[in-house]
Amino acid sequence: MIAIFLLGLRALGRGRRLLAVGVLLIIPPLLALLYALTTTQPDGHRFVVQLFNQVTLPILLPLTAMIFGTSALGSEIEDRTLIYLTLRPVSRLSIALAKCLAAAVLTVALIEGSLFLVNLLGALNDVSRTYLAPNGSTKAQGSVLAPTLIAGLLGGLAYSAAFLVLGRFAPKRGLLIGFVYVLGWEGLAAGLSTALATFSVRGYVQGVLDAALGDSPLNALTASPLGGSVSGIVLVGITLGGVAVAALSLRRIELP
Amino acid sequence: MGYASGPATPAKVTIEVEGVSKWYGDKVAVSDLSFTVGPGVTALLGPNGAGKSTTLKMLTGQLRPSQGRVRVLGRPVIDNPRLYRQIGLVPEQEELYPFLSGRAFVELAARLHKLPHPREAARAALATVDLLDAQDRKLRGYSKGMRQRVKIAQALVHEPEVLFLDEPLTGADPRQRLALMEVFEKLGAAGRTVLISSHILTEVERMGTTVLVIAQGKLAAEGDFHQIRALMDDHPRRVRIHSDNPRALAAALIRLSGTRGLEIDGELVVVETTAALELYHALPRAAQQDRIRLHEITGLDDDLESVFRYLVG
Repeated sequence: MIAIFLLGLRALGRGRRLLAVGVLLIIPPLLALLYALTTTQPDGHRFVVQLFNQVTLPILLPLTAMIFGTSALGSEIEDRTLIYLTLRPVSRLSIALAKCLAAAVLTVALIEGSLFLVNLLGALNDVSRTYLAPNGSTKAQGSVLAPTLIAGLLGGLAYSAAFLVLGRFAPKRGLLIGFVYVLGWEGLAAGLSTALATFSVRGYVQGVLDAALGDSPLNALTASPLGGSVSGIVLVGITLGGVAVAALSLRRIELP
Repeated sequence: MGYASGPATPAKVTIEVEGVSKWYGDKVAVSDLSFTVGPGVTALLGPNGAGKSTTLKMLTGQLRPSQGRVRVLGRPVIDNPRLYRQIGLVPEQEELYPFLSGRAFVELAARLHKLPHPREAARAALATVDLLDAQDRKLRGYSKGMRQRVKIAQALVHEPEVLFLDEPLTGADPRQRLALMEVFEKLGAAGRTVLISSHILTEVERMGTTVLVIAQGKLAAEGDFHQIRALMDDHPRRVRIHSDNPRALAAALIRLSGTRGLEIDGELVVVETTAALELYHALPRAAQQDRIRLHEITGLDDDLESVFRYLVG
């Protein structure tokens, strides 16, 4: 499995694909920098959460996962190289898992890198604030680095697995279908109502972020009705389910 | 319809095909194929589009038969990864991982086969196909012949019991062809099962003592190559040779016993022969002796279309 994982990393992490993702993911740090240079009332942590909710989560995270995830198996099918993996004494589950991990590692590493930079710039532009916790104590409004990284990690895994399946079934049009899905559903529809959010990955990532923010007033920005535990379980379920579907479909695949 | 020297059931059967058909909608690619193959070299012959590749894909589990049964080494081949430890495949398609070196590509195969010493195994396989000098170059820079050889190396790296080769000599130059044919012959002589698909008759003439002839998706002939070959010997075939010294080449060719006619047209020599194999063996020697540079050799009647018209009516 390690050999397929390393092959996947090499195949996905090169050339124009990586450049395109790099260009996309430099946008949030640039916006954070712009904020730092122009704001008169610095509230960096709030800005970080807003940026995550409005740019990274609905658009950049799924787009990044889509670019890597659809290609993980899709390119092997499209380039007709899958035979060099499937005609080996390797289980289909190992192939699907290794491919999913390769896509997820790249997605999560790049997303987390972008989030780290945004958090760094946000922390540099924040004044110390306190808030009254539900138990009556006064708490300092701390960094949102850990909550955003956790949300990015679970979201990156779930999206990568979902797009792995898309690439398996639509190797030629995976990117196009994924693009329409990301912009139309995850980016737009899922943000319109809670009911629609429950049918999107985005809604559950917001649920995780909400829970990770704890009782900080910043979680009002996410306003997710989905509980943290349920959201975490659903995201892990999507990840495992995606890998399982991809593995099962590889057992049935025909390579004409 | 057709010629058959009788179903030759080998003593030890390694490949069994029973009533296999494959269709896509209304289009029948392969129809009711039944045959068995044993150790040694067997050639799967047929013109382009005859159904050879579809058959090989069903034999290696890439395609599921619409009907019938395929077994390799006594086991079903579809979705049977454990069996793949004993199978090697040189696929028809040229696509490889362009970002990998030849060595990394063959090592990847060795690792996936869980070989204890993947580097050494890859090195040995690359040496077999004479690619050690180019092993560190990226596959994107490989010529067609080199790609073909690295595909053969990845199929040999785990020393499979059964080797499937789909048009394995495409793109190889005459010297490499001879060397690769020797490799396949040795494997066959060592008791491995080697099934080679080809549409070039002379390619398998030397290697294949047993042939399966497929035409229009059906088994048209089966049996000993020499019996089929004997039917064709009365029919001279033409070979076109592009060289830098056509006159010296023609002088060398006229000495061959099978030569029935010669035409020179610029740098091209078209020779008509009743002994194509002798011609193909003699060419590299003649070129070396007389310092003739050979650019291209094309068998004008080797595509088997004419042979099939003759064999199957």
